[in-house]
Amino acid sequence: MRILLVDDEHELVTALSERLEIRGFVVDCAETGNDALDMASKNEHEVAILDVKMPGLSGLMLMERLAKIQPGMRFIFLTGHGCESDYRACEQAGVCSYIMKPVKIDSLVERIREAAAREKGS
Amino acid sequence: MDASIEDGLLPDSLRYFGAMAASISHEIANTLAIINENAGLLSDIALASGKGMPVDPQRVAAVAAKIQGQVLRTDGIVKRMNTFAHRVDEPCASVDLGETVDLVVALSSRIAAMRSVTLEHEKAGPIPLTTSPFLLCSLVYKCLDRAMTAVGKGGKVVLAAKTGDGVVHLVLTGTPEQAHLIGSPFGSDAEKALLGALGASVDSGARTCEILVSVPRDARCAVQRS
Repeated sequence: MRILLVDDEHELVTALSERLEIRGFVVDCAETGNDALDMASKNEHEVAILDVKMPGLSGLMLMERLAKIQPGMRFIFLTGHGCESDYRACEQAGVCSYIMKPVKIDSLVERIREAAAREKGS
Repeated sequence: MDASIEDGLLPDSLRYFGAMAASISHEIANTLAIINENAGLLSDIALASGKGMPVDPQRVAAVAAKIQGQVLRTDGIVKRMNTFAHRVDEPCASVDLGETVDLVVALSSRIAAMRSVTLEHEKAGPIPLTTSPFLLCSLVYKCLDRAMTAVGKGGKVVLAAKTGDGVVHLVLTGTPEQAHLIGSPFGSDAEKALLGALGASVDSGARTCEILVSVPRDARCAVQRS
């Protein structure tokens, strides 16, 4: 399964992508919204894992743009904030999961599989 | 609760403290997440080694170094948070304006990054003054917040502390220079109260891209506690 991982923290992206790759995922990494849009235009991703607060394009704004490029993409938000208004905004936008950092890898993998399954309608 | 009632009950200084606490906790959540993933990576490597996969010692050392780097980063954040929290201890104390600007800039760095604004502190020598340490931080941040809003995405704010005749000055210069909003007056009741408590004045009207803050070197510290 190919996933898109977007977070402005370089070391988080490198470590988390490696751990997800060990678990069998193909991971495209981006540290800015614009890089993520570029990657989404080149490859199909079943699931995108996005940071909520990022410089430039926020996670929610990025989600809207990504959904236009890949309408089947499902979204998981990974955040250090846990802000009630962000949570509500994600809920209204139909985001599959809203997970607080730090996250347990098994839990994240489970959420990714759940999100992908939803996309397939199962 | 009606939003206007809450507005009246929450002083500006508490909002400032809350904004800083939220930003600091977000930064710590990020460093913890990086530590968590790198520790997890070491665990994955150990697991693979147990299954007969060769382990590269340099790879393990590099991951461990990343963890140490993030522990140091977290230590810096916590120290800044501690320094900031202790700014409310004394209503009147001797502080250094340059150190205060350093602290406010460091605490605001993530907020600035989110707004795609670059901050630069032109450092001078020691600039001691006697005033309310927390309210001084609050004033510097209020000016900085206004300047960041004025310059907008991709802009830059330069902060420079200077000494004058019995007063200290903080000059915030924003680029691009058409950032005229930086010069809007400090007119709200809360802003006037803050300036009054510090004995400070703000000249933001004369030059369109500058805020000039003047604080007496030895203020009488209008806010006293019993």
